[in-house]
Amino acid sequence: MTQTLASPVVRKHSDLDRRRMSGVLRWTALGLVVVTGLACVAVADAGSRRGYSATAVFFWLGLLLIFVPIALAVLRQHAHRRERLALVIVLGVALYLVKVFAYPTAFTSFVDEMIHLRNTEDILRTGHLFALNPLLPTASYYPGLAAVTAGLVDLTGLSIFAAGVLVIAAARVLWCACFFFVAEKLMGSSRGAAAASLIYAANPMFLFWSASFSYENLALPLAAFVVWWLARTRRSTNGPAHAITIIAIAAVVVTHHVVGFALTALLCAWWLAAGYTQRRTSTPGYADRRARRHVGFMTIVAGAATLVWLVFVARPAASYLFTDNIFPALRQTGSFLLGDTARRTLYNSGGYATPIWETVAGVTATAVLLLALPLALYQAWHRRDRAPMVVAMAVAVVFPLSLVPRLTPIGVAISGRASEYIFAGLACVVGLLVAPMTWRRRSQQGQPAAAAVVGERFRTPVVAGLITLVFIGEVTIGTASYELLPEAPHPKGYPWSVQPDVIAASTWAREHLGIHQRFGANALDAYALGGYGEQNPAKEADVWPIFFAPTMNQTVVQSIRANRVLYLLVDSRMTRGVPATPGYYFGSQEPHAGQYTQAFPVAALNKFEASACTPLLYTGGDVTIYDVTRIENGSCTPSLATVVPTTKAVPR
Amino acid sequence: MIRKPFAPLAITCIVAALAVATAYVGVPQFVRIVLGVLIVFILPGFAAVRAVFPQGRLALEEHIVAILGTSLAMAVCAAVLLAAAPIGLSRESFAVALGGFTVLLSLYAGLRSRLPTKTDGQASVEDD
Repeated sequence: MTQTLASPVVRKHSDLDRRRMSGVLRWTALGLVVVTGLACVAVADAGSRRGYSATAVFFWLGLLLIFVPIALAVLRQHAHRRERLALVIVLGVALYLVKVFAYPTAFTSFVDEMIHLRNTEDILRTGHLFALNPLLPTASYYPGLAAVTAGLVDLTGLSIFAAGVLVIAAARVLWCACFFFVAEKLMGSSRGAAAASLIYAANPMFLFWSASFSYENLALPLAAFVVWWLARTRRSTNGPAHAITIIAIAAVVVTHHVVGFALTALLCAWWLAAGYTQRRTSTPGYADRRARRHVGFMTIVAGAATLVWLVFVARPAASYLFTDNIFPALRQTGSFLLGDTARRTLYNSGGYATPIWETVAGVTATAVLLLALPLALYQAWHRRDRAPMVVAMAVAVVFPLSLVPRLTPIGVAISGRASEYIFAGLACVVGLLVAPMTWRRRSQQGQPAAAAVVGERFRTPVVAGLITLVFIGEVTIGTASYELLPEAPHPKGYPWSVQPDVIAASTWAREHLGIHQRFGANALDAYALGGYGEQNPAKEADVWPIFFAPTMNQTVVQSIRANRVLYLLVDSRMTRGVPATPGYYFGSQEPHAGQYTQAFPVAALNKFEASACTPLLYTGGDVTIYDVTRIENGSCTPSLATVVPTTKAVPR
Repeated sequence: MIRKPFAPLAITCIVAALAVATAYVGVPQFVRIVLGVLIVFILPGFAAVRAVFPQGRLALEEHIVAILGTSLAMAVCAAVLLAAAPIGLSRESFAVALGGFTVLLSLYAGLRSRLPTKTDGQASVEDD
């Protein structure tokens, strides 16, 4: 009798214990696999730094060990919502660590990191904004990232690198969580939201670019926070809640131009879509109308703030955005569509061979997404009574169009960067293909049929496998194969990342020559000089004649004087290999840009060594710094007697 | 004795005050790092979210995300405003600004939690 009365309670407790135990075991196993994956990536990075070429296998193995178990776990039928959210964040952080492991000591891989390093140094030194940034003048007018990093450096005493890594890590966590919440609200399914998060993590920029110390990578998570917070509080009459929305919008506006406009466009689309869906409803309630008014108000706030900042504060930004980037990309895309511009060769980067499987993976990933999109849009069409779903559909349909500029040399950058935005809508719509599994199960009364259970058992691995395929393929699209792993300290050819000896030379220049000296250097080293050395490199387009001239001739003298160059940083690695994409040492105007078959001529660099007017100031590794102040001020004119005969032909 | 709902706010105030103090007093770097990370990424957002939702209507995971997002947004705005102002961005000014906001918002949150609440004044989970 006692046993009969107690058994349901005992059974309940034992079920709970068993579930808890299996949860602990699952998390432990998952944690071990993810850590093993990260260890594989670290091994691949270490091997690559030592010059071993076969370590890419460990890199891909590591990525699979991180992605696949998490994909399987978040798509699991019975996973708890919180478990899915936690795992999505773990995935975001683990993929962030892949980038940190590759470059664990300094910002060397992306030139944008050095642009924002310079901004941060300027704010730390002066305590104020808008110092001239010769690397990208527009960047100093969007100081959100640099200012908060400088503040963190001030408070903690950490290096700029460490503080920057922390800020971007926090932003990554914020993005993962806010995107999950928004997708969940949109689809009404945590499983769909988890699938959407996985698909977003597969966007070509997510692994490396979105993990870099760049203003967009702080602004985008803040914008996601605005959207989620507004969705959460728009029906509220709670004043402080709206104050937080406005503060977050302000943070976005002062951090990144495009994200400011994108947020405005998104809120505007939301407001319009809410109007459309409310018209379909016979009698929208007062709360609905008030919620829409709040969205409209925040659209006005975001739009006005973005425009005011662009027009009155960040004045160089308009020409940078439109004249330098968007219009040329659109023009070239149009020209390509008309058949006037040749197609860019995909998976082909100067001097580096891409494994064929990467090409296949990239094409397959794009094909999977293009095939899934119409089915997903069909699903989404049935949910068009929800305003955010209409917005997501509008963003998702842009995806096929966004692939066209990728086929042109200039448009590829715009297409790649656009994927960070377009994948947000695309992931939410395609994620719907996974979400119905949950709805169907919920609608069933009693135990599901055995066939459904078996089908479900297979469906989760198939979906996880497809998303993994997309992830791997998109990684190969977003990052050239030679850039997946860090470079060796002494690369055989011309490097694609900033080398330690260039950082050392830049630091020496700052300490011994002072800051803001006018330097001439190749494009890659100029970023290090500007970032680590706080120097003002002359525009690469203006200084290439100084380096390309075979002798110390009139062209060299005129270029030095015209550009008021005081020092030259010469990197002898230029003579060891051709530059990778975009295919130039200095700028696109230099001879043979994008068509190099031979490395830079040795004699063209040796001419500085032989001239009495260019005393050697510094040498370290492959880097030398020459003083050309006497040429610049006219007190010394190089003699043709010092000309070194050319030993190599000018590259063709 | 501090009532339970006020204890987190009181602790927040104390940690914020400590963070401000370390801007003026030399302390080991580990302490600076811990307090600096707290004052930039957590404390202002915690106080602000408590001020918005005194009764804690958010789910735990939403609460954590709201804290992080609000803190980051406030830190960015505070840093930019200080750097744009004549006072400039420095260890002291940044610590005082964030610490001051945190203390003020904590006090406001404490006051709000003592007031009777209107149910329609709270944000609600929506279907849209």
